[in-house]
Amino acid sequence: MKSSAKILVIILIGIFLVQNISLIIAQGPPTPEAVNKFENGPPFPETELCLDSDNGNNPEVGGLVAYNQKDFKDFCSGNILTEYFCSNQNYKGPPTPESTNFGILNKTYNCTSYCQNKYGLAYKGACSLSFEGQGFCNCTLAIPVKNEKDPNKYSKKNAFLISDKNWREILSLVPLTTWTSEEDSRWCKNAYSAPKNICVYPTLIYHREGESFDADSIIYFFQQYKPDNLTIIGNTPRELDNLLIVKPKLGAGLKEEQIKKISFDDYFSYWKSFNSVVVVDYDNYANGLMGSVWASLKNIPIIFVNSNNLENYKNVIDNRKIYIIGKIDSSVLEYINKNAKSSISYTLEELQKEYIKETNTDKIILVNPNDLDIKVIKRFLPEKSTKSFSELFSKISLAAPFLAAGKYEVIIDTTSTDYKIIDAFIENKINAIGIDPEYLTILASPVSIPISRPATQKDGCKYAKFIEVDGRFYGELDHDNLVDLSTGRIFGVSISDASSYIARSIFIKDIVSNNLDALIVLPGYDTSTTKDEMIKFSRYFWTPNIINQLDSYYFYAGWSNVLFRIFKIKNLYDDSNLIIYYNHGSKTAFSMLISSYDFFSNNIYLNNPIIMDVACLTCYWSGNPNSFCVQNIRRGALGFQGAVDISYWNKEFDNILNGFILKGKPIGTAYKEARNQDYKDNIYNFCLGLRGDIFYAWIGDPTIKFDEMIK
Amino acid sequence: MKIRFFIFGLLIVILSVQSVFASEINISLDINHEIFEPGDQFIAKLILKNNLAFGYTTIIESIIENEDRSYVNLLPPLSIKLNSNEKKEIELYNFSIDETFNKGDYLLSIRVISHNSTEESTKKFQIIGTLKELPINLKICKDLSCSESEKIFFQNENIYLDYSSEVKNISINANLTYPDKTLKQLTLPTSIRAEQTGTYTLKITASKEGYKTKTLSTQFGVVEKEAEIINTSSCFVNSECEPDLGENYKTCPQDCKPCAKDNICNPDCLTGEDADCKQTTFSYWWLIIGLVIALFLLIILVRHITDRL
Repeated sequence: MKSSAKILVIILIGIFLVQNISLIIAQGPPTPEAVNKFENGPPFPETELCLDSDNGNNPEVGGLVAYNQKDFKDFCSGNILTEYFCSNQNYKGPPTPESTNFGILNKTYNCTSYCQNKYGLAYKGACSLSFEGQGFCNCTLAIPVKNEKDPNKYSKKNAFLISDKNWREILSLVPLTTWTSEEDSRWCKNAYSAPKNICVYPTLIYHREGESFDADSIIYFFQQYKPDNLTIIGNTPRELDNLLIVKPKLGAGLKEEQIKKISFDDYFSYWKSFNSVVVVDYDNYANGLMGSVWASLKNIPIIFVNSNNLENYKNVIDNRKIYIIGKIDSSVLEYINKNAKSSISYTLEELQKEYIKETNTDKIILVNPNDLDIKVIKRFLPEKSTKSFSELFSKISLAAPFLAAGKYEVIIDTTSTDYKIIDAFIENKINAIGIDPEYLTILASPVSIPISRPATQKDGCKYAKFIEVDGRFYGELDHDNLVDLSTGRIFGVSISDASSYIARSIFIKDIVSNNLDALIVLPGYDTSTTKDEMIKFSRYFWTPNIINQLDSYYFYAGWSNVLFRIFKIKNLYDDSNLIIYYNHGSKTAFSMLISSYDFFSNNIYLNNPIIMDVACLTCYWSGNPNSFCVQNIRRGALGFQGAVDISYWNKEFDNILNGFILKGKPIGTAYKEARNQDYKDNIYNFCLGLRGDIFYAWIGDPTIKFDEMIK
Repeated sequence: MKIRFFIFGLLIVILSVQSVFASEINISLDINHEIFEPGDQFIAKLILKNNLAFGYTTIIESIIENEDRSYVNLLPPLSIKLNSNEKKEIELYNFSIDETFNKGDYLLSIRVISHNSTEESTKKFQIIGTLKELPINLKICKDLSCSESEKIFFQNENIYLDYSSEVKNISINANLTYPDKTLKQLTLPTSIRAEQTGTYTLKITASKEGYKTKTLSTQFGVVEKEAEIINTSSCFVNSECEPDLGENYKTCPQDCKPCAKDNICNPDCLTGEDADCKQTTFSYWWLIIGLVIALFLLIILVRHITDRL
């Protein structure tokens, strides 16, 4: 009982102490820089010596004042530092006019105010303790160190959907849905086709004209990819909302609760923190294209600013590192210079160089930024919506930064629509930015960057009026007529086709079927072509080694044999992953097999095939939305060998198949080598002044590899 | 000897003159008719005559195409060896015109590339009497008048299925596949009640004498109710930080300053700087209470040991 009483006393003393200490700690922050006196008069005899280890009033160094045989440590209370110092070192007399104290003074500092006053707004201050437990203001840069996204904002298979109305919002979306980050890549969605440190979520851009929209290809992508959540940026037509929730095959089959709409104003909330921002002039789309790719590489936001909207972005610019791409308004520049932590200015070309240096990329994307306004005016009715639209083959460049960011590719841009100027531009640009390229992807419809040029008398072609230029000119660098770059072109009736194609090319593994099936249809030249003749012919490319790589295949050879089974063969077209066709073609069909009309009158979508062929005119450019190559890509094909005019009987299947399937080369490289082999073998092409394959363009991403197509 | 040289030289001159003034090769392109109807056989023949006193190989190119290039029949190049002064007849095309050919004008073009010259020839012909395209469109509507086609309907609505065509008396065979895969034969026009949700497929085969039989299908969807997609925005840029709407420096830096009073403790801000961040006294309290308890236990332990001693 006695001992318990003692314990109780001890506890009471303890509580008393706690209350007093906590009172000291819990008191509100003192007024910054208020000099405190010791309220009850001089605490120490005036004869005592005062010694200060941090040599006076020095808030950035932890110190201890020794006075009257007692020690007074500088200490922290929250972010407030109490700094002790001697009123006058070794003072022994009466108080000085500056101080009414004897010997020792203290002063409180709000460390943030102290550091910012001393070093500028870019700094923050933290009251910290030294190793000896003495308080001091630790002044450091105020900006967050890390650029990281908020994982709560993304679901595992999130997809994003935005209309093509506002290019600034679309480009801003690039670093939000596709970014490089070792740290974030531990939780974010990666794609097999993209480098492993890239976080990437499918971003689909749909074409909108008033209440009309085109989302056919996008809905098909959703059916295949099956996102667990869809984030829509901005408003959508009601019909599109409903289409998203209708079960396949018409709709995407999403549940209402899987879809949410956000406003573009929510942009910055996707970052947990960011220390830098890319700034591009409000009206500079071309700079924005590459600027957004840079922002993606750095995992930072991009903003499009001029003097009119600067106010909205001041808090974003303050104390951060700013990458300025190209020229910006002087008022914006002035604000950045005053308030940003630092800034780096790049011209577009300098940025391209820097990007190549950082990513070591060998891939180029060519766009025409004027394609926001270049269009073909024709009415086109999508299958999945009720209203037609009329601005076709436009705005394809909007999809470029998503591919560039997802696969580390550098965007180059030209506003010319003259193939000769474009050809020279590419060669000059390659030299200027110092890239050693292997791939060239043209992200433009032929109305913005020509896919063919008129045949000249010198070319000596009797039937063809046009010659392909994608590989043969743009992709040919040293003027020896051999294709140097693995070249491909991505375009569609609208941006919807191009953006869903890019999503497919990045997320192939997520959408391909379990089996790899091939369809080989070789009717031959005319009615007299026999089955045996075509079987014999096929041996140059259809080998046991190729067959071994497939799960199954259907093989039809000879004119009559194909003709009698055409309905069965037609039904196999949409199930196959590899299609080879050898016969005649037209602008809208593989003549004996299937046509664009068959596609839309039977709602046919494809099983992401690579399509190789000998067939004239399948990619002839006349602005026709029912062009056969365009319709194949729109419906899910990953690659299509399309002739830009009446062509020739190429002998490229062996090189394409061996390179792509057996040697694991990207499809563009296999195709390039096949074309060059036809050049070397001087395969007859009906043009007396030109040699080799002068007709077939590769439609699709040239970097796709065969192993990506295997589940 | 001189005479021999003279004759030899003369022969060379004659041969050279011949090759300059006469063509190396004569070509003659023929087709069996100018107008073709279904059931006719189209036969195109080429006669070649080598005018030179030595043989060589010619290459023959040939193509048939119609005006809109919906039909293109390009043959692989043919290599034909012609001996000196040889004449050869080659059948280029021999096929049957069936009723699916598009009617209209066609052009057969050839080019013969011989030793040192190129000869070209064309033949025009017409195809008539083949089947015409049947113009027909499917209509899926919400009402009988069907002024506007629809793609998406709500459960239990009536859906009107019809077609339109400028051609009268078309024979229609229509099938409707329901979302549960059941198949129902229909007579158009008709209406159905949208009981099942999901995708319906209407497929018709339209036929009429003189026209190509046409198969087409269309899909339409039925949903339980109109999609209600929530808007989760938490930033409404208006130069005012509105924490009640979810705005804070992180979600809406356009409106909210760093460390603003926005109901969110900004981790970038320091203690005391952001009024939304709680003071740290709470943790000190726990620390001190912990120390007191530890002291208490120590005293008990000391007492326990001293009592034993």
